[in-house]
Amino acid sequence: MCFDGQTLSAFLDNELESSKYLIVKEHLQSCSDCQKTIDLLQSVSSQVKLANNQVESFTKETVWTRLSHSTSPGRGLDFWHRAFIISPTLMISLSFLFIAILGASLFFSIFNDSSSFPFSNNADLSFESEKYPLEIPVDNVEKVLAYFNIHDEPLEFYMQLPGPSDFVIQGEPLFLKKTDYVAER
Amino acid sequence: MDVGEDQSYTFKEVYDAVFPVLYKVVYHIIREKTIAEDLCQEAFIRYYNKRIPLPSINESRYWLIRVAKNLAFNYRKRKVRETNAVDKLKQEGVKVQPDTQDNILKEETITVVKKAVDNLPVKYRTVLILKEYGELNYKEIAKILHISENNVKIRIYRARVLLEKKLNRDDLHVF
Repeated sequence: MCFDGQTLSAFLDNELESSKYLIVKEHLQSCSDCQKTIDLLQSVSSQVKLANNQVESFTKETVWTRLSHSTSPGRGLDFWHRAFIISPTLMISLSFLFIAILGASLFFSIFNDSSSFPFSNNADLSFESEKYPLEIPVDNVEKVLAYFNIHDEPLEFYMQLPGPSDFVIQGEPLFLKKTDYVAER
Repeated sequence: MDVGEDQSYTFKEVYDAVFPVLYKVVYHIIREKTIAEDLCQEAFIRYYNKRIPLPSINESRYWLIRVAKNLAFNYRKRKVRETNAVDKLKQEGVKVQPDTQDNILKEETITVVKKAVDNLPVKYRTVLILKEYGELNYKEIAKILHISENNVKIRIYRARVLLEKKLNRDDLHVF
């Protein structure tokens, strides 16, 4: 019984179990076909190994020198990792500063959105309602909205403008946002 | 330059143990010495920066060979798009100046073998390089490639059969 090519290839590589190795070895002495296959595989393996090259010692030393330089403390690491190693105090301070600036920006963007109020000079404007003829300078949209929320004013109100009206206000006071002040062009 | 606090081996010990086989494997994928050096260095830097301890030098060896092999094939994939692999082989052959008839025949054989190996499918080429140049056994190759030992045996056999078909037998000389 002949062995398959995979078994013979493994035999060539000395990868068979000892018992099977001996069986194949004994078989090869009496089987020219299997011996031919072994010779062919051996020939291919020898030719492949012919192209093998030895690693020169200076190659190993050269790479080690470069490697030692790259893996020394503080080298070969990414920028932030290296920065933290060099000056952790500075990096922590900068981080807090960044967070503070970010927080302040967020705060002002939420509570001071009158910056986009569609008037060039808010101090010259005022409004009054029929029920509460109060004059409140429209220097802050939030004040106007807060007033209506507190006093439960009707929705309709008029705004006294220095010039001809060029905008309309849409929506419930409670839900008014800066985007509800639509310019009327 | 220790690998880790709990390790009983140093980075230098790993380097000394692994570099020769790593370089051979990478070189036979790339066929360029300087690039092979760079890729080996890159693999060791990744190993150093990994900071996750490996239980033994052997495990480190498998890890490094796996990473370097992938780096090499990725590089080759990029490189093949730019240049013709056959031209590279020819240029490399010109560098060597054999002085005797035997050396001429040997160099011709090596050139043909390299070309045949380079044209093998990646999965067969990988096992062949690890086996013939890396001198690793089936068990080690299986661990590096995350496949079974039986699969390694099959791939190596098929690689040899394919290689035998690819080689132009009339032009080769067995030494």
